[in-house]
Amino acid sequence: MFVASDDPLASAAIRLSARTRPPDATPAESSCRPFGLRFLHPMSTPVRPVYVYSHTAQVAVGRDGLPLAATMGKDWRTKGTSDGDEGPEEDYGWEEQ
Amino acid sequence: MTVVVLAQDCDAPVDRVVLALAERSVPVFRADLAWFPQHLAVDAELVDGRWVGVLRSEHRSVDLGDIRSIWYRDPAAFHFPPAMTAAERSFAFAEARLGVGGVLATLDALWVNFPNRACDAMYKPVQLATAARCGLDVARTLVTNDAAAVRRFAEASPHGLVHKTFGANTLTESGTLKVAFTRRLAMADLAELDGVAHTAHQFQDWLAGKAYEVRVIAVGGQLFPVAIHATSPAARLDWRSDYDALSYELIELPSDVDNGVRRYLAALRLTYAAFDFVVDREGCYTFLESNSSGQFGWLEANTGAPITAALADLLAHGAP
Repeated sequence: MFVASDDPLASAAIRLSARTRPPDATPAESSCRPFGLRFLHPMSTPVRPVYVYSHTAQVAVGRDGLPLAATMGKDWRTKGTSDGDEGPEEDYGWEEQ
Repeated sequence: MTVVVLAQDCDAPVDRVVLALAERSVPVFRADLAWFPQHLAVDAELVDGRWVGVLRSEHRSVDLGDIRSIWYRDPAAFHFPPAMTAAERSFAFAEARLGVGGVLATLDALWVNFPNRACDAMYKPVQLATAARCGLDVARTLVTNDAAAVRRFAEASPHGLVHKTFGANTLTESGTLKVAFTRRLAMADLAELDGVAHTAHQFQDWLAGKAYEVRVIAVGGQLFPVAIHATSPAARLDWRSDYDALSYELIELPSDVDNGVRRYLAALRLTYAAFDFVVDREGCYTFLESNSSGQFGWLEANTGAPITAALADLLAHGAP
């Protein structure tokens, strides 16, 4: 059976693969490691805030039941080390500045 | 008429747009595709060539004929019962995508962005070629898995090369999250190119005369250009690497760049995109890339650019 994610060139396969985080692994032997992975920088793993999704307001709310967007006002920023199309953002969000 | 928002349930910019739509008294149906099929249902019948029915969560529903616009903002993948086997899950995933996606694709609604258009625009070589055809300056670029080609390209480069990934620049190894920022290649790097053969790589000329960078957020017909000024060596190379060293400024685009961006959006049939440019000391813009779901929230927070309001208005009106 044809599975779109197996198509090596179809853009739909990119979207699917972007949704599937590659498994954690130890680095490969240097003899087969792509050049593009030679200069990686370790980053701290982003932490998401404690939140509950409010089905009434259709937004994330904090412990006090208020929308995070409203309570934190402009004191959040969205940013990413992997910005935009390349996959799910892990570090957008609600960082207090 | 209702705005459908397909997004993950913890996404700050989405929350702000949903709140802005509520302020405008615009009905919103927000769902994450991870809710399908256990917490999200589709019920659609083909009637006279149109799909008639509802999209329904446990808390609300929307009539398919009542959807004015759909914001497709990185929803998570369908989530199936854990008891499914891998084979069953693969089958269910394909059926869900073709079934749910197929029904939604037929709706007479504005998409921001239509998933297939967004996917097509993910290819950086497509972006660069499209930008050039739309009248935007682009950096000299090489795509190759041939080390000899890299050396040839480097010899013709006036200020050296940078390496950029085509896609995700993050990887987790040995429990550590790692990021590949744009890397300016040293002579020693060019002497050790064995890894180039293992997959496709992208190399570009280093733009030595860079004064600052610009991100342009395009929302329908509105453009929000923000200059990004970097004050650290790392941020000057790749501003994503040092956010604390950045300052921001709302600017106006030169008319040729403005026109080029609009032609690009039309060519790739996008209603939203984030464009990144390098601007040199003479004020010349060089296109780097575009992200059809690129981030904007921190730019709005730092400049006051009314991007959330523009998105809410676009979705509410259902047309640019």
